[in-house]
Amino acid sequence: MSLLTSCPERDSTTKATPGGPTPTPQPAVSTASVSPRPLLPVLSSDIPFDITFSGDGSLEGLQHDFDVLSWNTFIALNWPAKPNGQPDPSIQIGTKDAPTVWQSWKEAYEIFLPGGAPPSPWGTLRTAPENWPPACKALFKDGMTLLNQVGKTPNVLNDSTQPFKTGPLIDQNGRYARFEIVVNEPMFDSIVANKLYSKKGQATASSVVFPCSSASPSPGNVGAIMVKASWKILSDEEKKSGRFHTTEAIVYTPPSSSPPVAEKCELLTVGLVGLHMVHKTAGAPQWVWSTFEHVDNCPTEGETPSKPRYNFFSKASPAPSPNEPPPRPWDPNKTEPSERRVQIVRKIPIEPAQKALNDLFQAALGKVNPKSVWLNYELVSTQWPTNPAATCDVETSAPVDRIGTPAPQFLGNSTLESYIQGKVPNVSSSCMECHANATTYTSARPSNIPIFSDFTYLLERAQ
Amino acid sequence: MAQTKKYDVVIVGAGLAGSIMAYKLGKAGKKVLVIESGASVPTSREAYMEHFYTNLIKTPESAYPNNPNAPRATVVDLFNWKDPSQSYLDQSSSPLPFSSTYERRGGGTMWHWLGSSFRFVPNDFRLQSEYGQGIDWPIAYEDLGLPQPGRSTAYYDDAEKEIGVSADVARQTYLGLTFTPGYQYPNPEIPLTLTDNLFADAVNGKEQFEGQAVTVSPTPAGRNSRPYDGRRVCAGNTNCIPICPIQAKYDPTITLNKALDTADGAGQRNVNVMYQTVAAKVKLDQENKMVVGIECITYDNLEKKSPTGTVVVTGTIYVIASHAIETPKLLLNSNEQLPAGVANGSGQVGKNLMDHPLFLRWGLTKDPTFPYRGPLATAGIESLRDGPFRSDRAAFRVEFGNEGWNFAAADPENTVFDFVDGTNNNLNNPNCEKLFGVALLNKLNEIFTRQCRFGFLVEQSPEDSNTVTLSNLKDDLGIPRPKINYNLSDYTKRAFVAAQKLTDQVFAAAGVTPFEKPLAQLKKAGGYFTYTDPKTGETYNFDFFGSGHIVGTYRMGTTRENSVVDRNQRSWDHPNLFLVGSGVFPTIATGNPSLTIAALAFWAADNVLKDLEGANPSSR
Amino acid sequence: MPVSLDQFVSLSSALTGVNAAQLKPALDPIGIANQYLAMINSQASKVSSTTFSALVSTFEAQVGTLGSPNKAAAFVLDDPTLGPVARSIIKMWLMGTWYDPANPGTAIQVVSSQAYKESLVWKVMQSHPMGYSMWSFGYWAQPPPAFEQFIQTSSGNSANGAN
Repeated sequence: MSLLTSCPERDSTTKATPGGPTPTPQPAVSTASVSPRPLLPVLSSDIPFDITFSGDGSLEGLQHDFDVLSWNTFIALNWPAKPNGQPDPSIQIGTKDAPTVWQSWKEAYEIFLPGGAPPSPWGTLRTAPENWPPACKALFKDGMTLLNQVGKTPNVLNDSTQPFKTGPLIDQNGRYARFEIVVNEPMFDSIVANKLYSKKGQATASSVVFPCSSASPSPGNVGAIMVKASWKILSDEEKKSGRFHTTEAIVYTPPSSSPPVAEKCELLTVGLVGLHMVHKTAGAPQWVWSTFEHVDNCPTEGETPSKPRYNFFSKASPAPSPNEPPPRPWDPNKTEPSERRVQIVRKIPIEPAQKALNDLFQAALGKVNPKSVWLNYELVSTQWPTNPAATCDVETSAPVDRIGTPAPQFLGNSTLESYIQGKVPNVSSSCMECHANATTYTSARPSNIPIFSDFTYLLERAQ
Repeated sequence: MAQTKKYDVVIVGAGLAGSIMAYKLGKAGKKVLVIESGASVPTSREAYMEHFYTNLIKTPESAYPNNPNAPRATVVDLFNWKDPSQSYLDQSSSPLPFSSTYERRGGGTMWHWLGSSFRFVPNDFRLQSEYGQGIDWPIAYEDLGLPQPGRSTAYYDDAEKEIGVSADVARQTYLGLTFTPGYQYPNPEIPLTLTDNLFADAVNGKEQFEGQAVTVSPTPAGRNSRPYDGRRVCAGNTNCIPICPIQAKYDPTITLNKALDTADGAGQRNVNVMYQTVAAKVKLDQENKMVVGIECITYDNLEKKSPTGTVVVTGTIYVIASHAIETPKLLLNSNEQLPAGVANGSGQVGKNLMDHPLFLRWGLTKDPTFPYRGPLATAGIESLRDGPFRSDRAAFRVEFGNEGWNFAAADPENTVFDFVDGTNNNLNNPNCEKLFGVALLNKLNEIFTRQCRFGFLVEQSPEDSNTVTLSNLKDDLGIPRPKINYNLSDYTKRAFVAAQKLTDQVFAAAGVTPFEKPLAQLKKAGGYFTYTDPKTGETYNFDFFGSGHIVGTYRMGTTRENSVVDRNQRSWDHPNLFLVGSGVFPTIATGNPSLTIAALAFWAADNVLKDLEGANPSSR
Repeated sequence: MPVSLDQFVSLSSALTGVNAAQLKPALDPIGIANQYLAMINSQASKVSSTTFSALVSTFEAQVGTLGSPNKAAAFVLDDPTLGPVARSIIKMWLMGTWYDPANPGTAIQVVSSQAYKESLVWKVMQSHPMGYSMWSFGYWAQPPPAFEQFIQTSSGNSANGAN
């Protein structure tokens, strides 16, 4: 923490103390402190409560502030964790690759249990799902990463395919990418307190409002954060490359008859390729949508591919059509031949402002360790509401402009929204537009209609 | 000529019926080839949505680009419907325009269906024996609505499950409708709009029409009222037609994708689709009995005429699922071996073309009901779909539109024009005010928040003379275009008189001020016609639209003389040929057709499976 | 001299009755006013730069002469040359489409998919664009928020940004 001078006010108010009372939401700009732009960023394990207003109220200035929030959140969430999941202040991020803070958070499969059973308390080590075959359970060590749990629907591809079945992501080794969704303690607590983990519990809910992070009242509170990660299965060469944040994971493929997929579990080394971090703050009750990617994922459309190799793009020709999944049926157990590996290109380039900030944070990360795995991750952009809801209860306080006119209008991650990267309202990837459609399964409102779930699709998984 | 390998089943058309059959047959382990004349199913609906947003005219086809290799009828064609240089359908000698349109692309016409998923009522299947009108179906309601022997579900149940219909059984048991014991719709009922409730409150339990109760019922809908089948809940985009942006509304690409997920033990898919493959001729064996192949023309560019060659697709059993205009066209064009065309021993192919002629009525409610919100239609009057009146005039159902005067009077554009330019197209501006600023905003708000619209879907009677034949004109691939002859019978027209009376009554009960086109404007409409009551001598002026329900033209029946297919949807003439879709309907009945198309497709799939697994069908 | 964005927004506010801050928000990730201005300045609009400049300068002069943007708007709308262009501007804000000033019923183009989505007529009716709802299932069973929550009107005869 050698560069505290760059941002003193933020550091003086920031403490990661999750789980406090719901803060009083206030507009972003008025509550945020003002400080000069940093020269080199401080790397801190503290999760920022909100943006730090850098004094320039323009769209570009605020975008910068939100991008800084994204990077600081990225640093804090990827901080090396102690066995209890708390950040380990004795180690700097990237000194060596280590399990991160967010990886100990609650995964969807731990929350939405068969029969709507209550989830085990925060801090309980992950255990294998009860309905697993013994062979899989035997592989599982408590607390480890589990990828691709059984979804609530019989469609086993539910959790290995991308949003709304647009298609799987298959890397240049022919392996299917895997995904997980985790939430932090305040969000988990809110789900549990409001019994949103079961259909029965949802039937008593008349609205869903997750807590917002807020710097006030002092010492501040961290609100709801959710993380969606995409992982690729690493080859031996990739494991040795040191270019990925890796973890040992049980990669579980549930069985299915149509498409024919065999049940399988494997203990594999996986590398992080994409990370959405979504943070609900008092200044941005429509959440702050930060998305990061591995720098080797894919080239940008219209630019000459300059890297020796990409995770999801082949320079060999003839290559498959860009951004098209291979023909069905899909089988995540397979190693697909080259013609079925997807050819991903980034449709919306990373802007110069984000590139400059990436350089800045990567420089700071490089000072810790020039071979830090985190040097290989970049911010794509941050989507935030330019017309934020007045309170943390978005449905009530933003009845017309539900999504708060997000900037940028479109944002996607090439590993998570590979096939919808355009610029068409309501269909191209826009975090908020899409998640505005998220609902519960049921509610206490008349006719038990599904209700707005505060931008998360997770609650649809309640059983 | 190139020839494919021999599949178990060849299906022509990747719409609702074709997709369901491909799914069922693929799941049963059969090797299926689907040929589709148009574009493949896009991975993302971005291109269709961009096309919709930027299209100046938001017709049902406005989300879908034209494809000269697989042309189809469009609403824009209807502006010049008599001129075949402007209209794909050759209607140059038709008394009235056939006004319904369709899509030729993966997923078919149901890309732009509304979602209404009605079961037909029992008497819809026996119009002749109950009322001396039309013709009976060779099947009864029970064949679709209740489990057949050996099955635990009814075919309607299967269709509702596939589509994910949202409704409540308790509110759908009218006019003799019965359900499998203990049956529940897959999803709960969709909440009604403020307009729906205005009318329900005004008439339910209060109003009678021709001696029958007038009852507003929620519409069973193929839209998600729960997260279902991996798809989102309806967000009320008010855009079911032309396109649901979020696929909360079912469309057949969902089933087609499931078909493509079926595979054999080796992981090889059971169902293949050849897109951009246009069926041109059905080929028969030397005895003119069995179908031996379908000759197709391929092309390689969706934007311009681009034929690349021909290919013959072959299978054991053939299914034609190309809707009620392209299917008879294909059969009639297959006239080299049989001059009257394939499957046409009855001479019925192409006859009895039907639609639900759509009669629109619209008005302004007294207080705001805030239309242009919610799914396009969520309720209607269903209690008048059956009754003794059917001996004398056609039945109808009444759909309440939630889109204000969007369909009825080209709003919001026309009313904006009226108050900006000082015109009076929509009759709200008799003083020809030219407004601007806050006064304009207030005036528009006052009008738009009170608009309502009824659509009467009239059960058109089947007529020999309403036909699809081959035009002398050809499309870009050299295939004859469909020639249409279309008119409305007096039996059908009398329903419009009743519809007008019902409108007057219900609008009055609900405090709605009606609006109508002035006669001079009405007379210019494509669907303009008159009806003179022989008893009173009174003459009525009407116009009608299409409902998008293209029905008849290869009907099912009890004998090879009165019909094209039997009750199993198998051709009387060619035992290995099945014809499916709404073309088999002997009458159009009183509900929107999609659910019944789906139910019959599930049944047809079972029949094809029996034929494949049973005795050689040619020995029948 | 080319018409500036501020000039265009001031004129538009007077014509449409919508507050300039709603037409051109301080934080504006969409830039619809910029798109509309570019539409008028394009060949496709069939409006000469001379006419458009005259419309703006006349409006601005009349704000001074008549004392209010509202009266100035009425003045330009009554002008046989400038009025048709002004009416096309009103319609563009309401419908997201540019209409030929010489043939007021003839649409030239939907300005963009964004313009369709941002067109104000949907807010005037207290709804969302057909095809673009950000609300949740069942919203249609309840009345919408008040008109004032959808449209911030310009403040009548008082100055509303024209200068």
